[in-house]
Amino acid sequence: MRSVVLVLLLMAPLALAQGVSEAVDAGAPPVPAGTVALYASAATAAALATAALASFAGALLPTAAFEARGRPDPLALAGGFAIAALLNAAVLHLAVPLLTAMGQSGDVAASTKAARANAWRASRWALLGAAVGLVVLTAGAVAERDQFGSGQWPMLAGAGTLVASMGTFDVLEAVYAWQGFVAARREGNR
Amino acid sequence: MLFTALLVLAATGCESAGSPDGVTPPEFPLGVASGDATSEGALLWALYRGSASVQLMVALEDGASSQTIPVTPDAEGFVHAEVRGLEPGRWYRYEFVETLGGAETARSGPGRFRTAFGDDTLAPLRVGAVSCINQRYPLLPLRRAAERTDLDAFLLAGDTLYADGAKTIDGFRSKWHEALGREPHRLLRASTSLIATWDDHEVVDNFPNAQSEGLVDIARDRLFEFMPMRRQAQPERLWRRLRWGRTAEFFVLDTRGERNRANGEYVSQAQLDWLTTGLSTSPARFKVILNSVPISEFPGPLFGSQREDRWEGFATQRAALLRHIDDAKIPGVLWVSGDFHLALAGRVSRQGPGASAIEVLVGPAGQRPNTSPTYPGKPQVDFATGVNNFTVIDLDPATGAARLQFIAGDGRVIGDFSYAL
Repeated sequence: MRSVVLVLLLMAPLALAQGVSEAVDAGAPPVPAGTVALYASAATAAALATAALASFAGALLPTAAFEARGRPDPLALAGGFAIAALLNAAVLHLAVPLLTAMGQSGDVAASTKAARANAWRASRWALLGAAVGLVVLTAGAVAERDQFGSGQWPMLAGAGTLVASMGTFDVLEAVYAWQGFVAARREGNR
Repeated sequence: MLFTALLVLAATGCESAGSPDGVTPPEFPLGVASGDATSEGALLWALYRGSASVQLMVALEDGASSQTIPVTPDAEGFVHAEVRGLEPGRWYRYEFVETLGGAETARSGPGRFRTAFGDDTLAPLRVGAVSCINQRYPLLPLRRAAERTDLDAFLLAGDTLYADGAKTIDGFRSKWHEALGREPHRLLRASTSLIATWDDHEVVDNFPNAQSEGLVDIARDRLFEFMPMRRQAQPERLWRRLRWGRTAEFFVLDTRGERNRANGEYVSQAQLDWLTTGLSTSPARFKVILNSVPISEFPGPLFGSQREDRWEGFATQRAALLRHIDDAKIPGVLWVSGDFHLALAGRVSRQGPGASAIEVLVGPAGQRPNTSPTYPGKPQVDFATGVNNFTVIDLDPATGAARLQFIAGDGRVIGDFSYAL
């Protein structure tokens, strides 16, 4: 079951990127399927690596709080989620558009700047969702600190919203960066 | 998903496993232990590997008098020697000795215990307590506890080992050997007498469940083999009471082995009746209930997923018991529990039955901390920590105060609270 999920996880960006290529790329020689696959795989790997890095960095604050008090601090957890989300978003927004450069060829001009701009137009909504999740998580953490049991549902809902939003951000960033790249590529060929 | 999993893993940390250490005589590979002390004796334990004669030497710690008792190990080498005729409230030393042709050939190494107070004695009592002792983890709190010479007895609130995965008699024995082979275990067991119950990991995680079917009787027999616990008239019965004069009476519960979900029974009706009657009639100033799984309520979803595995999941029995204690105004009740991988001191309920009752969660002595992102706190709970530790419980019958000190593996006192019971 896990391997099926993993395969689906890896194939989904490929299928999406391929679909985007076919839908948008009307004015330039088609991007080879192998290049699309390479980009999708690289973007997926970048997303996973960034998530791992961000999670590690985000865990430092709650871990330090635990070490200091011998018990977890809900607010430190919220802070850890904030750090992880910000780091994840920043690194991925910086890195993924650069990966589109692997679709460049000698006779076609393209722009990673256009890729990043197009990615941002879509992925910012996911970041907004993450921000909402973070606010709910923090509110729950404050309530929980005040009285045990009073903020756990908001904490769970907020964390769930934040994690889902960041997953969505990763997908949107990869797909729409590629779309921006392909669209710019067509423009550059006129 | 990965994002969250990594965050949680990194936040909770991971302790490295320890390795077996120390040296014991091969004839007595797991050292010695004593348990279930009464005012006139105790149950003394050893595992003997050999075919010669074995004698037990018992002496007052100040050397005033001594006795030598021949003992007979069972077919597997276990010795459970019931020693009687001792003086109440006195510290004794004991040692098992192998003799061949009248000559001494091996010694177990010494152990010590204190007999319980005489029936009418009203004196301060100090006991230690832990739970959750995973044999694969560092066991520093046990080592620190074993260094103490002032613990009149030691409470084990369950998960004394992690036998998960064992399926056969030999499999369970192997797990017990692995656990008790650790030097901190041996040191603690030799340092004072034990009062023990079991929890789920003596059988399998969250027993009783589908995984525990067919294993419970095997696991219970191994518990009696390896622990200095007095078997009752019914061999399967773990619940029992031990009185230390008029100072304290320990009610040792079995909250795992008699559950009947269909009847809403967390403990059997017989056990519940025995407990309520015992609490009402006990002449002791303190009634310490060794409980394994907490009776406290834990509001919210983060601790809610395991609600069915504790008293809260059996609301009728829980309310009846707490209401009985409240309505009868039984003084001096202290709940001692474990299981949660966190130590805690606070009130059992936020309101209603149990709102004035006190529970202490002891341990973990060798485990990762509870991974919940929030621990119980004010106003219901005064203290909670995930740091590996053991608890010292001071019971002062003159004032009715129970003092709880939580001591980390490095010897630091990380919590110190007193309650008027």
